[in-house]
Amino acid sequence: MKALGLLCVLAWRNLWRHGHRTLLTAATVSLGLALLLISLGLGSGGDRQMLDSAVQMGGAHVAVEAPGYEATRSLDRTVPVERIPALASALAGHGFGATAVLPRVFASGLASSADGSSGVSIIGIDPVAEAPFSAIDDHIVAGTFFGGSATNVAVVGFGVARKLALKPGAKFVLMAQSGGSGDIESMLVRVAGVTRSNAEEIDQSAVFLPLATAQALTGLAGRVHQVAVVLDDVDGTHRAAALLRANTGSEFDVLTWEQLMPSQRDLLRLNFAGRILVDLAFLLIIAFLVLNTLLMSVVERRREFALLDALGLTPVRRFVLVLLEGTWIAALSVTIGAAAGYAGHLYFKHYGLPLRRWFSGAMSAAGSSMDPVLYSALPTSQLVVTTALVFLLTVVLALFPSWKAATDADARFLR
Amino acid sequence: MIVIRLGWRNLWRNSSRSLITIAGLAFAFGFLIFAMGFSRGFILQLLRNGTELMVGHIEVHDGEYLPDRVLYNTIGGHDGTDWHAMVGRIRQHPSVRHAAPRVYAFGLLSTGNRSSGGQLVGVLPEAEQGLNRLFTPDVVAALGTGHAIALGERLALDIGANVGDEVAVIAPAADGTQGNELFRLTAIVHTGLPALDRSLALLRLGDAQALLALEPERIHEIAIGVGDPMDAAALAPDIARLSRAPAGAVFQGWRELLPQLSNYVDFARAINAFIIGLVVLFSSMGVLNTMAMATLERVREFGMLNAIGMKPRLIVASVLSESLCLVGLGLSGGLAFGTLMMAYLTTHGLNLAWLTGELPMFESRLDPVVKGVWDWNTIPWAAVSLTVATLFAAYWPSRRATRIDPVEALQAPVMP
Amino acid sequence: MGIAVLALGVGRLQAMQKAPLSPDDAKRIIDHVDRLMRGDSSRATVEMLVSTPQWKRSTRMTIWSEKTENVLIRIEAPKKDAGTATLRVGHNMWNYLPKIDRVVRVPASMMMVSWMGSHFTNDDLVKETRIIRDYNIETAFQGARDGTDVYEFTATAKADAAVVWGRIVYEVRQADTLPVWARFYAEDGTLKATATFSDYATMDGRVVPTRLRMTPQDKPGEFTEMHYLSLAFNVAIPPNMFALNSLRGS
Repeated sequence: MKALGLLCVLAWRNLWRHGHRTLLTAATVSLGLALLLISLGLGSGGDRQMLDSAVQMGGAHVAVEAPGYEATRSLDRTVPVERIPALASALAGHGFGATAVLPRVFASGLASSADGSSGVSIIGIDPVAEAPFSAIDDHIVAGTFFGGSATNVAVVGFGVARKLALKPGAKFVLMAQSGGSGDIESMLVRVAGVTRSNAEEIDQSAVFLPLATAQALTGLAGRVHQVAVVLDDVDGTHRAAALLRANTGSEFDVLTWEQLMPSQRDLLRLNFAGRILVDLAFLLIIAFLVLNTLLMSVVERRREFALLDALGLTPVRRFVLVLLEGTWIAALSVTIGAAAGYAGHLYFKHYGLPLRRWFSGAMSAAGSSMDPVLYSALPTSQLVVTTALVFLLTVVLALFPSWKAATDADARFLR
Repeated sequence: MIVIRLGWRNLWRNSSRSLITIAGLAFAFGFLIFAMGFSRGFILQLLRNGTELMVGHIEVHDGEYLPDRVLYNTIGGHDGTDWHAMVGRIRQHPSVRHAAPRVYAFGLLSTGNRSSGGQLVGVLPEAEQGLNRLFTPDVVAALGTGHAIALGERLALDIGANVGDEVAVIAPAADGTQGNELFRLTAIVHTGLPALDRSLALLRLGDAQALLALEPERIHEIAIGVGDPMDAAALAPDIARLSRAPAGAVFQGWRELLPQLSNYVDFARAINAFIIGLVVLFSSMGVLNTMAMATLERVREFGMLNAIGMKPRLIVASVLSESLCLVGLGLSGGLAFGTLMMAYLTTHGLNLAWLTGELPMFESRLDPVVKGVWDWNTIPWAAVSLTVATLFAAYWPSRRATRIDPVEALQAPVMP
Repeated sequence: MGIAVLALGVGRLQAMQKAPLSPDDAKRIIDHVDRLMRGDSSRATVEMLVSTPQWKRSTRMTIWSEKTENVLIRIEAPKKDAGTATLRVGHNMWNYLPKIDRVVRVPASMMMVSWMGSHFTNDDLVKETRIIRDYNIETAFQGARDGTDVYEFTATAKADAAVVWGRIVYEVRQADTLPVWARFYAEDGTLKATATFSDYATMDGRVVPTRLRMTPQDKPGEFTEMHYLSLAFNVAIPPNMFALNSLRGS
């Protein structure tokens, strides 16, 4: 053991006898790791933003619906409102305290004003419950997101407001088919606010109503089409879904966001795969560079190894010595690299990376819209795994010169 | 030139080191070729899906026509124009591959008790072939005879129509009457764009004009396909001039018609530039390393050269030429490596089906199989950047080589 | 653009009043005007003239109505359109097109589309309007204009009425409580459309305006005019008149 300790110290000192080389190798690995971590952070941050954005624009992480509703969108497939508290407590008991459980009603209808008319998608929501989670709220460009006690008010998409020449306070008539009788109901509604989220479907056709109003319009008192669960961390999705399935049995469908928004799921998968590919390539490039450096060190130190051999340092010990040097470099590099990478991640987490240069207008993909500012989100697990991988890679690469040190100690180099 | 031969020979004095560096450069360059090729293929696919469904690379309309698509705003105003001749002239432009006239209207499609609003598009199926991917030979044949109609699959579902069924089409005509006619559903089309699948109704141009009481000279749009969609914006004014279009007609490229797609293409290119920059950075670090080692181990030699009076300039040149040879070999290797990968990528493409189905994005759609396309714009730039960066990286060690003190140098141990 | 069709009504107000009108009287007059051309059932022959910058068309049609639920309109002329029919039963609407010999349902999404190219929408034919139910009536003016004694009433939309207008202003002749014009305003006060009434004549015992012209404000030069050639009230409606298979009828 004592020999090992000695070898460690020796290894450390050796590093600094060839300072330039050490620094160059360490710099390469640190820089590589830092950039890797930053790009991973921005990449998964971007993915999360997109998903969050989709969820905040009337989506959900998990949804409870009447069987077959998602496929048919049939007005009369509903979930009774009384079930909601039970669903909420099923989740709350298992660490999902900060979760929102939101009732929603969906219908299609016609909106008309003195200036025009348009087919619209009617969405009944609980404004107070939705406000903290809703991006509709954040993208209000005129008026307010409900508020006040008025019931027959709506938040309309920007495109709808334009077609009907609506401003906050203006009135319009909303017509929709009533679930029970099949008759068409008309209702006067006033504009509370106008939202512009850059998600095409919302802006061009959405009319948000308070839940009770939507229920009255569609004749669905006490019933909703969807109980939407919005978690504060998307990672909890499957656990929450399992809890809800246990609670509802086969009475209702429990759907996760992958099933509710399959395009989002696909887009995220695509991005993930792309990131892995680029990162692997980078790792390989770094590996080449480090190998290059290490190879040169081997050549340069032939005399030194021969000397050590002559002095009695066994091949095994020479192997361990050089391997320890490699480990030291790895440790040094990943420490600096991880620190720099984490710092970069924190910077982008706080300030974000502005993409406005390219996002002059709207960018919508897979049903939601992309944020013009990219925020980094680096899960600790990814940070740890990536750092560990780079560390391991460096140590593995150090095996080559270690082996050389053990075997390549020819006395003629002593000359 | 002796400097180059010197450089070349110096390279092989330590073949394993040189080979590893060359391999690293080759891998980096090869990777760039692959990444740029995939990225270009990806973008082009999105671009094609966006512009080869209903929107073309360039479209011609009357200035008043968009965005409201009022029936009366035909090309050439209410009198129309000799669009046959105009299309002929457009086709004569060397870069134009296809040109297709179209008539649009909003109307009602019904199977009796089930009806839905839809967008009627009157086309010449033969002209659409090649321009519009919906017009496969089957669809062209299906619309070959009069009173045939093709519907977007969602629309067909909404009105409960199957191939062979009769569909009534009713639309307000240009003379104020209710245009109405019976059509037979002969094809169902799938665009992958939800908005189109819900509303598209394709019929023969002549049938549309008859239904809408439009004179034969009146059409709403000419869609144009060119060789390289990236040239569309540059070609539009030229094609416009050649076409001798009537007053008031405007020619717009896909960048104006599909702004989201346009944004994304710019964004993707920026990301590419970033990736290239990173790869060049790392590669030059590697070369710096190599050259630093190379000069270090030849301290004695440089000292001697200094002592015998070799001009510093020549010493620098020899080191630079060595790195140039490094890069040259690295790029060649990379080209070979890249060509191999691209050979597979361009023919089979990367099948992303395990990741995704059809994906609507940026006003277009991504298909699971993405084929690569050689990015001849970016690859030369990448090669040049690599070379320049390498030379910069090698410059510092080469300068150091000139400042080696002859006396000290000659005392240095001989490097085997 | 949705414009309330002034449907056909009943009754006639008796005495002409010189004294200022009470709110109740105002309300009664407006209700009378609103239902001037209505009956439990009615049959009318109408010539509809639509004028736009691109074309002018005249069609002659027969309109049967029963209470407020059922309406059948059949085009008689010109020959090109003869036989075209529209049936409205409750909240459902169908069109019959003789050229293709098909009955087609009008989906909810097409309710705001223009009916037969006119400035009325499908919805106008379907909606049951009752002005006094949805609007508050006030007398704005009472006196002489252009040599005739008239009332001017302002009907302001009630707070929760499902109507697109902010207010409708009517000019009504004092002598016979017949409407002269009606102006439709959006809530912000912009004039959107004007209906003018003229050619007063007696039909089936009532004096009614036989010409109604609807002019949109934002499209100068365009209008739709309904000219009543005949009008009969409380007619006997043949059974199955408002059934789908009668759409094809003779």
